[in-house]
Amino acid sequence: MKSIEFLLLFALTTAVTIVVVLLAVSLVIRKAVAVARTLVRGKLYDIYTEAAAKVLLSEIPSEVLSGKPSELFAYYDLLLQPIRSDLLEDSKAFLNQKRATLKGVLLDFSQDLSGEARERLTYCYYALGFVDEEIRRMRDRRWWVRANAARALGRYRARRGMFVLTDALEDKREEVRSQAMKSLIALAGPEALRDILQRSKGISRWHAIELSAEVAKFKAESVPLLLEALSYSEPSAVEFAIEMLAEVGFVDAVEPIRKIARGGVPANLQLTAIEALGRLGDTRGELLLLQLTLDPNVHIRMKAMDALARIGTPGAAEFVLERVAAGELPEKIVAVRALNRLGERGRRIVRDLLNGSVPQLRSVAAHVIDFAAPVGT
Amino acid sequence: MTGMLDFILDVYFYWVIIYFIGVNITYSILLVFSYREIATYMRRQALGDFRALLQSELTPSVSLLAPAFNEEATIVESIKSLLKLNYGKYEVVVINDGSTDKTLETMIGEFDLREVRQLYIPTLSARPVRCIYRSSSPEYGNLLIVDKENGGKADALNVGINVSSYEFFCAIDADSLLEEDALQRVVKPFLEDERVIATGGIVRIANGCEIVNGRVVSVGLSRKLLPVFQVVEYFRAFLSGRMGWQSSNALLIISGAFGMFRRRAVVEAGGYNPATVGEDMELVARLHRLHLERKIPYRIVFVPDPVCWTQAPETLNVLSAQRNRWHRGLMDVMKMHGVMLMNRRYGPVGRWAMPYFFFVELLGPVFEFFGYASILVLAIRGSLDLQMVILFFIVSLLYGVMFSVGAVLLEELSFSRYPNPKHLALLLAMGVLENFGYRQMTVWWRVRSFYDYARRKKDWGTMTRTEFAKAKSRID
Repeated sequence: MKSIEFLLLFALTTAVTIVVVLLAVSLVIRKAVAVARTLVRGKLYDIYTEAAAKVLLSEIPSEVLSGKPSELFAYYDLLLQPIRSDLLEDSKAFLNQKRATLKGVLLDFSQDLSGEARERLTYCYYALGFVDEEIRRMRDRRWWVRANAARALGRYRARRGMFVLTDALEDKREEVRSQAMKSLIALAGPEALRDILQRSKGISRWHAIELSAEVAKFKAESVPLLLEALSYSEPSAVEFAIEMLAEVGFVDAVEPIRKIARGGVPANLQLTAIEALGRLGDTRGELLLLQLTLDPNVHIRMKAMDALARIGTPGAAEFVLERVAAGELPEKIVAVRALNRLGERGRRIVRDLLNGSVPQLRSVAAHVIDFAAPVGT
Repeated sequence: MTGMLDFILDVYFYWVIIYFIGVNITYSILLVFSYREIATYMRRQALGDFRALLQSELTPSVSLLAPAFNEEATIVESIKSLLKLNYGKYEVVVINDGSTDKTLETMIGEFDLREVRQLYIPTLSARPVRCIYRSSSPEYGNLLIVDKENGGKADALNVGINVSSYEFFCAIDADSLLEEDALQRVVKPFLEDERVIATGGIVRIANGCEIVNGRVVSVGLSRKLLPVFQVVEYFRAFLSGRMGWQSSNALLIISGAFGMFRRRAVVEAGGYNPATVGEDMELVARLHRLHLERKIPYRIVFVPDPVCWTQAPETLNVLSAQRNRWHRGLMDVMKMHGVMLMNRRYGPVGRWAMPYFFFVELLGPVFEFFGYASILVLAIRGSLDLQMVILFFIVSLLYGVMFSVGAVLLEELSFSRYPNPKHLALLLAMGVLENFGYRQMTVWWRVRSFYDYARRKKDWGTMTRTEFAKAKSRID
């Protein structure tokens, strides 16, 4: 019996020894390969930076520049010839490394190029087969390959990729949809918003944040598309459009946003719309907001009071004061905070509360006054 | 009588072998899951761009809660480091938990604090708040200091939650340092998925690192052995343990040193439990339990690269107190949430995570301790099969080495925070060395915690802190 146990332990020892040795060896190999790759990549980077600089920064004769596009492309091809022939040599593995390094070099150049040089760079991507390669990769089974390809197409400014990118807006992986969205905006500008908002389903907050950073670059140009999106059936697209219209500060959006704030839509959409009315600061939203301070839903009442405070409607003080008297503590705080921002009349009410006889309201008023004061006073 | 003892030792021997094989299979599975999860994470990170998070108006605001008890040596440096994080809108709430040293006075002097009449709503019950302070300096406009009566870390965090104003709060240790972009990374899962209620970041050992102005500028290893052993231990715990558990949404621990929570979910769960010394794990276990019982979809996520740097104990006394406390905390969690153990109703948490923590983490040291004891008994009785014992020791050593090397490999494949090959070699060597003495000591400390638990010992032990900038002993 003991010999069976011994054999079992011996077998385990041998198996684990093999695994440990394999793990340790793979660790060493990995470290060595990483160091070697870094060295090779560094050398290749230098070589291709020099070669790419010759292609992208060399002077082109004016007659070629003003001539037919085909002549210009032929000239680009001539410039690209040394790089092309270099890419024909070597083994497949090394070739892949070369192509990856070259892509990196060209992308680095793209940060500083504009005008004709930028177009020349885009031509390089096409001519070297990078664009078609990425379009093919957009059909890959692995999501990370598709997502990287979507990102690359945007960076290459390759309009040939727009169809696949538009399709990718409905990809089952959010990572791919997100990259496709950003690339489409890079390629088509604010116009891409229509496709993005129409075809995207359930825009996550992360997605919305990424998109908002892109849209913020276009500001006024994006307004018609955002207004159009207010009528879409996808609630997350409508919510995004409301947020962005408020951020851009387009006051003519008050009317359609007011319709949404009135209700009959999902609660979070209504709350976003009420907040947007406050951010837009237009008096056309006042009447509705005053009505909403009487809404049965406490969250809507609080948002409405906050929005009124942002607009600064002095006449709202009486409505808000009612909530100070009737609401629960969180609502009282929002109401007193709103009063403090509603002009001299509101501030006088807050001071009265501070000196009043209700201890809870005194505390709320003190809290609001202390926190409303700028730091350092 | 002798026959009976032989029988018991024989049974125990077979039990140990079966247990040993079971535990190592579990570790192997966890390691495989971790590799898969980290590979996915790295692919997603390669695509990630956090610039939008800093530019957008839609980025949620975060409250950073830092309980402090007798931290006068490090508190100023820690707060300054927290105030310099790269994130949109956030507030830093430091809760002075009735410190008996000069923690509060140091903060008042350094940050020019003045008393404010903040309305304190005790949504979660906690010890009374004495006073709330804000800085008079605009430079520290987002700093809030709460002075309260001593009630322990959980109690202090509950006060922090009551005072916090935002949708998410991040609980951290006041003596830890967060990397500049840590908040961005740890908040991302909440934004990607509305179901996420908690996320945890990785905690790394700062001993031996070069720290300037509250930032780790160069990663290194301490010259002392104990902190380096802990580096390997932390790799195993965070990279191969937590990463593996989160793949099946069964992560039971989010480190108290660095975790972010959806405030509403924690308030609904009743906040931190001051009755346990393992308040971080207990909260996570309770969140799992409540969501599963109420059938509310949820996710608890571990994010492996937002880094929180912490000072590891450098002396045996402090380390033993820490491990003793961790183990007592684990016992509390098992006692409070034992209903989930092997209960299918609680999904992977009940079927896998709870049994793992019960049989492997909680009872493992006991089995190991009795294993050593039985060897001693057999040797005394002269019936020790030395060949067998040596072979068993070798195989367990190799398994230990395998998981340590696996965890170091995982680190090297993913984050490569230790670029110096010398450091990597040292970490591998520690993976072997820890089996000779260090491991046995941790087993003893954890076994002893059962005795302390039975005596209802609730203290935390003391951790001696030094200023980060002064902790320079490192291997170059």
